[in-house]
Amino acid sequence: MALIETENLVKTYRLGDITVRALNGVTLSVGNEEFVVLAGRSGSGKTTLLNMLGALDMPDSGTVRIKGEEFINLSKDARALFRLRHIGFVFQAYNLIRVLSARENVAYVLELQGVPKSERHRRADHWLNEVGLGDMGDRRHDQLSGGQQQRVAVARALAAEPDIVLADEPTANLDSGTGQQLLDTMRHLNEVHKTTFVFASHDPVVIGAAKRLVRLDDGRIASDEIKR
Amino acid sequence: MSERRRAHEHHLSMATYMALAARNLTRNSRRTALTLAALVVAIGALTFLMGFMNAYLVGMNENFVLVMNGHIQIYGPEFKDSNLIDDYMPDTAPITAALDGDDRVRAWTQRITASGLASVARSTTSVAVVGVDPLREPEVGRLRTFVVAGEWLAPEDAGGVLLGVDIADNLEVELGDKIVMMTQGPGGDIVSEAFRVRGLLHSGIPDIDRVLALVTLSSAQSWLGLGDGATEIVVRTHEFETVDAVADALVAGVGQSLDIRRWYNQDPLIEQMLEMQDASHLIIIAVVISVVLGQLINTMFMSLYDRVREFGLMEALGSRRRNLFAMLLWESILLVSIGGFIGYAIAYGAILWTAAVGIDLSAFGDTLASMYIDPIIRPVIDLQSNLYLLGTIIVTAILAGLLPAWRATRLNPVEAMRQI
Ligand SMILES: Nc1ncnc2c1ncn2[C@@H]1O[C@H](COP(=O)(O)OP(=O)(O)OP(=O)(O)O)[C@@H](O)[C@H]1O
Ligand SMILES: [Mg+2]
Repeated sequence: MALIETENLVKTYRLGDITVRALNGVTLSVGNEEFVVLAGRSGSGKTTLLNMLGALDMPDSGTVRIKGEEFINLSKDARALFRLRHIGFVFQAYNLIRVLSARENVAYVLELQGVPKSERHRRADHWLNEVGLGDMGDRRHDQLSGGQQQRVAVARALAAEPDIVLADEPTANLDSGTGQQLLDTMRHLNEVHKTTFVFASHDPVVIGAAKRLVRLDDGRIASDEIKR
Repeated sequence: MSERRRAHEHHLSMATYMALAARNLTRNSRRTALTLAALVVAIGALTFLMGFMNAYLVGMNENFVLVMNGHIQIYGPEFKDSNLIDDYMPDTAPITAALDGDDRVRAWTQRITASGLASVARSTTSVAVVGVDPLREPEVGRLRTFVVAGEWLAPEDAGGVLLGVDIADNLEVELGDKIVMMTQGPGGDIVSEAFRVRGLLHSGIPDIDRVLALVTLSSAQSWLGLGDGATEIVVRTHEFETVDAVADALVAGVGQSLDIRRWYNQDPLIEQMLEMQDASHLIIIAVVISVVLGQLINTMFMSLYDRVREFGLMEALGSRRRNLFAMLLWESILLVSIGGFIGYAIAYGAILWTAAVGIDLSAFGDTLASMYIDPIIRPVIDLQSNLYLLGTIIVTAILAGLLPAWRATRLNPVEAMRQI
């Protein structure tokens, strides 16, 4: 069974008199342990699709199922619960809750999940270590570089043991060396922990790491190929 | 995932909420400091003001009672309506015996009150002739303390009178001068008698200084032909709290057919002041709340708008609406609690200090005295008003947090995170 399936997703944005069709009938299926990159020009609909996959946004029509569970008609709170249980996010920027340290950022999501306190900190430290930030647990957002902040977001996503991690332009604010490091970390996590990753990016570094590359153009899937 | 963990989903601990609230408050420390200052001033001033008002109102009640009105007054059934000496109480013995037998009663005295005229060769003025028991009267009231010239009446002094200073001024009489006083005896006969001025009374209270002509009870009794009778009996209890019980006992017993009044319904002024006490508390509280509330809501909204992206992020991470709601609410409550605590502490200190030193208003001496207000006021901390205040503060904090908190739950996470 596919982990995520979308069927004929359509999403239209209205800006005054102009309507923008951000997604124009996207049907996509992502299986377990995949490492998929959604690529495409700016404005092609990558972020919009990712937000649908993560139950952050709702399509105008079409369906999204995660593990066979449909969430299109769920309430705001029910979708929050859904994200909490199944989805991990890494955003392009502003990933961290600013008043919380790296460790607390990870622990925050675990607390929402109902993980007992002692285990929260153990797990937070474990995952920070895993992304190479073992000694930076006490630092807050302004004491971490852009790449380190992205790594905290990755650690936070993985600590919650999600079915799928969605990363929107995770390398956009990083130099290519740092971007490559981050991608290597995620590929490693994909191989060792079998976590599914879906990226939205036009960064060659990300595209180069893809196991499967889906190209979007004007809200449609233009190509879908297995890389290796 | 275990059932136990599911039950805890979306439950953030108090420690987490408090850590978030405290740290977010320090995020814009200038704004927090300004809001705190407003809270401290408002809550501090309010607490102090209530302490001050309580002091003079308590003092006022006490003074009113202690000057001459007593806690309970007993009259013949018709006397207060008719104001005729005919309606005096011929036999007060059963009542005074009952009062003597009541432990809650501290002292009682009898008086004869009659309106009349006082004249000297050149002028005449109206007076209230009051016959007082020179020995018992000081146990109940303070009239004796107002003697500013001459002496308090001696028990056996049949021909002496004490005059309010304003009366003496009007008549241009001095100590030792002779005046003639005229009034109506029972049946309407006009009776007159000569008295010698033994002393002057100055209290600042117009009802005394402009009105009173004190003679001894026994001279009034024999002058007016009232035997052992009196027009009123004035009772002072040990405590304010027992007034009603003592009065009720009288009404049910020996005072059945008499007119028994309690201190708080003696004087419309006092009754009004007591009602105003509650009303003015409410008004002051309402004003302070609206100011504080406005400032707080403003602060909390700014705090929300500064953090729209972060709220979007938290939602994306799986926070529910009630998590965001609680975050802002606790932040507002924490802010108000700190402001309230500091404000209250300062006001408490100020009250203790001014209570020790006393606030001297004697510059307004007679004006205050006419309202039975002490010239030196010592603020008191009153539990009830402070509870009032505490409740108010908590409600204010919740109100101020509610609107922004509700607004936070309406954010669309996708839109929120698109913001810069
Ligand atoms: N909230 C919105 N309101 C209006 N238009 C929107 C909104 N979100 C997206 N769009 C429009 O929808 C289209 C797809 O946007 P989307 O963000 O998905 O593109 P993208 O592929 O992620 O682009 P980029 O590479 O620049 O991030 C764009 O034309 C965009 O302007
Ligand atoms: Mg995008």
